Amino acid sequence: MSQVNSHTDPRQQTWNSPEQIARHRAMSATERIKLCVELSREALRFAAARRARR
Amino acid sequence: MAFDPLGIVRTLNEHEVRFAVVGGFAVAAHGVVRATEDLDVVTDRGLANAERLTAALRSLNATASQPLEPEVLVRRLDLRVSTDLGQIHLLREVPGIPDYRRLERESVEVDGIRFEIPTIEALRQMKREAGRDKDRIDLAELDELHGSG
Repeated sequence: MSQVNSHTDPRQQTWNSPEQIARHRAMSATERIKLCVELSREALRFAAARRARR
Repeated sequence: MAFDPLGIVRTLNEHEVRFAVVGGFAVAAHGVVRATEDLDVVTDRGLANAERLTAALRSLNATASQPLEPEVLVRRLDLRVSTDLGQIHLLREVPGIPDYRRLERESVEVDGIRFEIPTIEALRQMKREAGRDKDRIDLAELDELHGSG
C-alpha cells in the first residue's frame, strides 16, 4: 500500500509531476542542449563554491 | 570563468575542425538532460584536421598534460584540455567511441551554432560498448524515452 509522505521535498514532487515530465519530453533538442548548458554551469558553480569553503 | 560549451563548439566550427559532440550534451539532445563538467568531442583522424584542432585550441588558450601539437592530436586521444571557455575532453579510438567517419550523425542548431551529434541509435551503441555505470543509467533513461529499440 502506498502512502503519501507529507514531508516530501517540493522539488521531488515537481520531478514526479506528470505535467513536468510531459513538458520536458516535449522539448526540442536545441532546448535540451541549452538546459544542459545552464544545469552544467550551476553544477560547476556549486562544486567551486564547495571547494572554496574547504 | 563560466563554462561556455556553445562558445567552444563555435570556435571549433570557425576553424573547420571535423568533430562530433558526444557524452552529456549528445545525451541531453536526445532527451536525458544532466549536468556535465566538460564537452566531450570525437575528432576526425588525419593530420590536416589535427592542425585545425591545434589552431582552434590555441585560440582558446588551451592547456593539457600533453603538448597540444598536431603530432599529438593525430594519435589515439583520451585527453582533457582546459580552455578559456571550460574543459574539453578529446576522444578517439577509446572504448565506446567509434571512428568519426563511421559515426552516424545528425545536426542540431543552438543559437546559430551547429552541433553534430550521434543519432539515437549510434548513441545507444556507444553507451552499450562503454558500459560504465553512468552509461547504463543513460541507456535505461534513453530506452524509457524512446522505447528499447
